[in-house]
Amino acid sequence: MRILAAELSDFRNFEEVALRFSASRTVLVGANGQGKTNLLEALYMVAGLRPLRPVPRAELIRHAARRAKVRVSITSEHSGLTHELELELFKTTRRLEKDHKRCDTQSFLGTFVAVAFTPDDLQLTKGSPELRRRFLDRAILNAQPSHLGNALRYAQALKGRNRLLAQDASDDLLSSYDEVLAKEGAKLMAARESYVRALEPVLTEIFEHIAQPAPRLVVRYSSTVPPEVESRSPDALEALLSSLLEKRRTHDRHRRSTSVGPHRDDLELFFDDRPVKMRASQGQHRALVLALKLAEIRMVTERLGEPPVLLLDDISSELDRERSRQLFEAVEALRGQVILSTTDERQVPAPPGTYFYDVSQGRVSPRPSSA
Amino acid sequence: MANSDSTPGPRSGPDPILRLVQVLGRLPGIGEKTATRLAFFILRTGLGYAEELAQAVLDAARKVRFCSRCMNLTDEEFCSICRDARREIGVICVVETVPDLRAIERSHEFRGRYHVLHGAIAPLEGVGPDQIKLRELLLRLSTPEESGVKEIIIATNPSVDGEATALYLKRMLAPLGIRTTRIASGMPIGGDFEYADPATISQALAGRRDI
Ligand SMILES: [Zn+2]
Repeated sequence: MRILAAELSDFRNFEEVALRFSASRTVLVGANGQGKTNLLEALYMVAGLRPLRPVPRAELIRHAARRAKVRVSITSEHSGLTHELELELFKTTRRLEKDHKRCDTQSFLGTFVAVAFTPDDLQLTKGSPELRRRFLDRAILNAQPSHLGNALRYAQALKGRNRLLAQDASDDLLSSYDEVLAKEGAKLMAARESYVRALEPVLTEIFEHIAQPAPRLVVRYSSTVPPEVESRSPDALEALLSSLLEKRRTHDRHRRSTSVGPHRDDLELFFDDRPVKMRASQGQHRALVLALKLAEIRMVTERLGEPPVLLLDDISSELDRERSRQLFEAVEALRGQVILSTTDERQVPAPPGTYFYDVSQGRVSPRPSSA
Repeated sequence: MANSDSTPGPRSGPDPILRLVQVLGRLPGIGEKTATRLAFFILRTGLGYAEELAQAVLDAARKVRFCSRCMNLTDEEFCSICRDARREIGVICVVETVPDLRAIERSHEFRGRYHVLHGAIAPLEGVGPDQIKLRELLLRLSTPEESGVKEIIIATNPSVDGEATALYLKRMLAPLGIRTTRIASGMPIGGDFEYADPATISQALAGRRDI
């Protein structure tokens, strides 16, 4: 999968920008705060309809503009097809077009698949569970576009229930939201659990290759809905979650928030029997983060039959030299398209065919060799 | 005249053109640009059209009311559907809005009668069961005229709030012992009933299930 070109209007600090991408590697060079990350984010938004980190929609629209627009053309070696995708973001809504026809989220997602690796990801193994839930949801979305709608519906039902808890709503009304919450929550948990099961062997293999000597890695989806039953099908999970929501209702009414469900779950990582958070050295954290991202990339590549587009945001400066070398070695082996940003171009390997762009104050200029 | 030089004095009221643009701009789906275009169209077309438009708006606003039975909009005590003796009295289809009702009517698939809730429960927008026409439905079902009702089809939108409203309604209807069904949601998630095509609507009705 490759991006051929992209056009941005009024996206963050960019008024109008048009870019063409190398089939292999494109490097965006610039000092911090000039907009390199924003360029990568624009591409990431078209792929998954989510920004790199959660921000209010209005922040993505350039100051004083009415809407932001990103248009990309994508080609897939697997299907042999080229598609035009256009995303327009307004303050409260968005508008999607595929091949110049208006379309819904379902048919938009999955056309362009991208995996981003940003400095935020380096907190993945030691930061809050929310980061790991986001990692899982974003990885699942690449394989299963319906996951986004599912996650959004769950989030909305959860907000609704929490509001009702705060309002001392009747049991009948709460039960109605509980039913929706249990149904959407069960789908979310089932998808995450099955992803983690598939992830474990891939992650372990990659981690053992990267970190030598590697401690024994154990990966587990830890759920607030405990595994009381053998079957973790959506139906069984729905029944479990539903009964837990009911049991917790009095408690939740006091706390005015919902104490069970996938919004409280975590992807737990252990070295031997101890949590990675407590046990790992700096170097091991970095190795594990790299292994997680490479495992995500390998899984989506197998699923698509071709590599996704990789968006690397100033990652060399965050990884140590050895991890950085391992990352580029893996990227090289993938033979996919990479778009990366850096403050220091000497830090990134640039094989023949690499395009360079200078990014400064919301302007993007190609180096002569890229034109 | 106090203001005999060329500088115009302060005007006595708001600029009539700007006011018209502003009022039109409050209509759903009308931005400032469209409101301006509409305003100039009205002004250009002349006084006759302006009077006709104003009268039509006033007439409708004054005469149109909720149907005493189903909460559809009508200019009489009962709407044309409730007055139609050929409609089956055994089935009532509950919808969120009048446009939803119209969309189902266009499919010619449904021969029963309706109840319009005029919204869905939406905790995040401060809409509770009392802010929609839900009590009116329960009252209606307790009257002798409606004793022949055998099934309530809940056709609220497939959104989270529409779904929760359907489930709440099911709970409220349970003591009445009337069969409650939910339309199949063949529509894409978040898709509104109002915009669904007739084929999708007939599929959704045919595929309804007990809830
Ligand atoms: Zn009526």
